[in-house]
Amino acid sequence: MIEIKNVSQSYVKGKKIIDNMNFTIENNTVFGVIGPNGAGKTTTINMITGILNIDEGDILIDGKSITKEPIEAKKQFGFVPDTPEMFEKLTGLEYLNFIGDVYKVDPKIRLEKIEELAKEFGIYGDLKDRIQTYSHGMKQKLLIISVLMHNPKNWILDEPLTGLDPKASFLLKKLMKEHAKKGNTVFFSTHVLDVAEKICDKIAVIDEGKVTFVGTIKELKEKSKTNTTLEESFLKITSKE
Amino acid sequence: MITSVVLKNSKRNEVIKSNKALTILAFIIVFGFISAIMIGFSVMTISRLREINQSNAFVNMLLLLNFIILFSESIFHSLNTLYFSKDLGIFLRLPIKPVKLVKAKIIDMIISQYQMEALMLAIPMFVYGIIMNMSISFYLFVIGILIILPVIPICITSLIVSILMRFTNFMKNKSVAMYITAIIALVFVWGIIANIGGGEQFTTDSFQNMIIHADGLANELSETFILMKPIMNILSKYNELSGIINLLIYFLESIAIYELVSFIISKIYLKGAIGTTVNGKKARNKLNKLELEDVQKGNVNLTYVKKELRIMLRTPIFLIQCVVMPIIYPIITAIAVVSILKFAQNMGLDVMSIIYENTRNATGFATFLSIGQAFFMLNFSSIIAVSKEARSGVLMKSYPISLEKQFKLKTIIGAGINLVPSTIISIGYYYCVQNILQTAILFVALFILNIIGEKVKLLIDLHNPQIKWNTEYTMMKQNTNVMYELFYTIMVIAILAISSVFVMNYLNIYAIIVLLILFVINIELSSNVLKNKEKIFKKLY
Repeated sequence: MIEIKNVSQSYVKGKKIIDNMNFTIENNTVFGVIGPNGAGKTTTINMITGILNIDEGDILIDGKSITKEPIEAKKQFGFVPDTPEMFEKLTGLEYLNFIGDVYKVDPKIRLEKIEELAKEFGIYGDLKDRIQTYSHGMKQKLLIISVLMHNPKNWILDEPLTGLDPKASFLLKKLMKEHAKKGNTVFFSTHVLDVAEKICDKIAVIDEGKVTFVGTIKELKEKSKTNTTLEESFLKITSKE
Repeated sequence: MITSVVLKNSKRNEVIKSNKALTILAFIIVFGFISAIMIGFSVMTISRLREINQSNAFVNMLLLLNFIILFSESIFHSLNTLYFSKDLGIFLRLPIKPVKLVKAKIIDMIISQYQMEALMLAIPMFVYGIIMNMSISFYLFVIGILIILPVIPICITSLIVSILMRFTNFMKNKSVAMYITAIIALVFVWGIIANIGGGEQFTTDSFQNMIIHADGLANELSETFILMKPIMNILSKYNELSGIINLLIYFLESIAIYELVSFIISKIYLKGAIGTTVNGKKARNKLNKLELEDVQKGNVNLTYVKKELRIMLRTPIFLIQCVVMPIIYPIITAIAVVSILKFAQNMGLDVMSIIYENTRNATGFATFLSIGQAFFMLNFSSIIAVSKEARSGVLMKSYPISLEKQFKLKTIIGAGINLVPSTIISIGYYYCVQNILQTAILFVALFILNIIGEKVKLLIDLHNPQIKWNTEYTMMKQNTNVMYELFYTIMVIAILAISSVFVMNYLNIYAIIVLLILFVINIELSSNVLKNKEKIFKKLY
């Protein structure tokens, strides 16, 4: 479970990029955050993962505060950033072993998970190549495997489907749903509203650093008084007029 | 237009989000210090040459030195700018003629050399002009030379690198291709430099013969280094018509070489450049079966340091600046010092007794510490500890490893490499003072000074992380954070020098006090990192 409590953040004094954000991502939930470019999606994720300091409020991950108990909080999640720029000079296997050591994953489980996931994502044969030789999609797959390998209760994924081929995209969506069904949390940001519509149990709409909506897609449609697609509801709720 | 885009893109550094006044002050002090060194060196050299009626040789030696530096530097520079810069991914997609792109890249390289030339060429030349009471036209000629001097070395090196890259392009491992190209290019470039001298070798007799005649050394240099003859003649005959003619000849030569080289490179450029942006894999690395030993559990600290080391060793420019140079410089210096001392002893000079006399006091101790600090400055491991990882550097904040621990782990490589100069300096000190306890104190003091220095460098990097770089080379070479490192070094040396003067004859007391102060500073620094980690890492996002 991830709880965001009265969180505000400003890069420049007086100009809030995130303004009093409040919502909770329950267990058993695939939670999507959607919003226009520059709305504050990545900033929110950066604050949850400890990359960005929080000016006001707090974020709890399975009850652990990212500001007060950062190490314990960080052990509770796995994170896939929006740009798969990673340690390019390492091989895929070296990177997975690095993450395995950081999260203290048992070698047998590590082997089992890497074999299973790397084969499913189609990068098994490339694991001994340097990451610099990987395509954008392959890097993304490697990052996803590194998260799934240490099997955290909470998955935090920033635009995880960008650059993935259809097979990998389908697989990841399936894994996200399965993970949530097991009583865990999947929190992700996306621009692709179709994806949000298909897999999210709940969504949050962020616009100009403020949460303008939290609930199910059905509730969003009701609120925006549209009965067609999520796209239409989204456009209506983020409309400035 | 494309030149302007290339220039802006390559020069754009991270915005410094600190106190502007302090930044300007640091820059003024650092540039002032370097300029002062260059001025002092120039005055001393010109005076010595004047005594033997060879002052004109200063100009020729300076031009030769700059030419050699330009040739050597431009190997990695051209490789990175032409083939390994991130903007290639964008430019190669656009309908731009290769010749335009090549010209833009060459101009970018030429302009980036002016900063180095300002320090290494302009300052000594102006000092020479003032001492020799030159007229205004001399300075105008110097500016003209400053502008055109980098053209030929950069063009020739770029051509060699491009030809080599065309043939090493088949290699899938781009780092290996880069190493091989750099090594072969280095051999070629040194071959050119060595063959610039077409004349006879210097002998003791010829040297004596040269210095008998006024400006004999300058004339011999211009005759020996044929390629440089026109440019050397420009300044020696600046007030004659031949000076203008030589400048014109060199200008036309430079333009012709620039046009010709740009044209030739453009014909072979695309294949090589596209090759570096295409992801290649080696078939022999293809993984068939993963074994349990491939995924053995490792100690997290060791794994972390290994990751840092791998990134450093597998990136040519990092390997050179962070590992090879910091080890080689002190070794070369030690060999040079020992050779000079032996030579002096063979000449019957009792240099050792002078050294013993001057090192067995507080100033001697401070001098050896200062030498150590100067060598530590040449090690860039910690000043790019975060920046070298580009955008992935921010991920360190999402790992369940405390920031203070990661801070320590990131300084280990730099501190480890600095043990080489520390050991060499301690051995040298032992030979001077012949006292094991004092040597041990110096070694420990050097060790703590080293640790403090690496922490300070990492703090500088975290204060202004350069994670949005275009190429590893530009991040390394145009990293303004290095100025702060230099500023820190100047401050340390100044404090050591000033403090030692007051207690010159109390070596033991001074050494122990320095050791204690360093110890306290180190503890304070660690506790400060622990207390303010949130603030220290704030700009890394």
